[in-house]
Amino acid sequence: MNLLNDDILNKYIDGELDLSSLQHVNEVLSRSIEDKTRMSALLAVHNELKKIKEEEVDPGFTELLMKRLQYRKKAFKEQRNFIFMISSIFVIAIFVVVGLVVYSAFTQPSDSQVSTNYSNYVISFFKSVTSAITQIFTSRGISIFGSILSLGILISGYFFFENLKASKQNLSK
Amino acid sequence: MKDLTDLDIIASVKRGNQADYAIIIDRYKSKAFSLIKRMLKNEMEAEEVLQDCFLKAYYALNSFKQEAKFSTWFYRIVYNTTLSKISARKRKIESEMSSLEDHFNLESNYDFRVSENSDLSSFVNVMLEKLPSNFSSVLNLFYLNEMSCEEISEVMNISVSNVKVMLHRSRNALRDLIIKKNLMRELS
Repeated sequence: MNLLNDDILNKYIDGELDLSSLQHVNEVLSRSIEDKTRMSALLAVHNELKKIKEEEVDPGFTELLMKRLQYRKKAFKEQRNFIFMISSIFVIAIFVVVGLVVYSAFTQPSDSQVSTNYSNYVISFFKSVTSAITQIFTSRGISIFGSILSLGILISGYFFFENLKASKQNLSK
Repeated sequence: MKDLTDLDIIASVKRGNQADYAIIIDRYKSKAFSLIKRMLKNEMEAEEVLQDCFLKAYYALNSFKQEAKFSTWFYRIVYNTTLSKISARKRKIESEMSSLEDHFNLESNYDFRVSENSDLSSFVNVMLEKLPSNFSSVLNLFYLNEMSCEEISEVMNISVSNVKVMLHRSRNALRDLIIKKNLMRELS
């Protein structure tokens, strides 16, 4: 019959028993062969587990991983630059359109040019701007602008996804 | 370089010295690989997961607040990433309590024709591979990584008492098998 349960045996091995419990266990172990056998086996398992070895990784593992990290950093930089470039092109295009509108507004003959009243001049200027915008954004103008924009998005999207694909391929290598 | 603590190295990496991360990789790769391999029971997958773990840890270094030891934080990433991998393989992952109630049958997993010619050490190593992943993780973290039950509970996100239960159950299972299969001659 087992006088010592598994929990006590495990606590004994882990040194978690107080002094009186420890004395009791030692006393039981000295007279119970069955408990002593269980304790010896448990201790043997404990000692063998302490000896388990580390699994060896491929020797080039660190180098490979550092290369991947460096490549990721570089790829991230390239992608960021690419996005920045595309955004810049769109911003410049918007500035060009706005510039054209303002230029048209200034060059259009207007009543405000002869007016001495400042508020009339401002109102007249915005009227000219609106008129210039409507001239640029006629149905023909919108379709040309839309086509250019779509083409720009398609081309930049193509290069962006190609870039991503190349990055992934290189990373998997 | 070997005298530098993990925190010194991490501070250096955060300052932009990416190359210093190689020291962290060299320091932890073998132990982390042992843990992953014993959980996944597949060497090829284990190396892939190990790479993912180091990459994840690198990109999450800024979120490491030094409230716990770096090793505990890192092994938590390792453990969770490996669990995700197991989950992706559509393996059944037992919840904390159900895993404790589950009965694993080591005996049916071991070819005892092998044991007749093998010693206790190889027996323990073979059986370690056969244990369910959460039990082998506890043994691995406790014996190989020399972590306390408190640290293991942080890594595995379970209570300390459950860590102890899993540790005891694993040891008891191995012991019962040793007695049953008369491997006790090794002890004499």
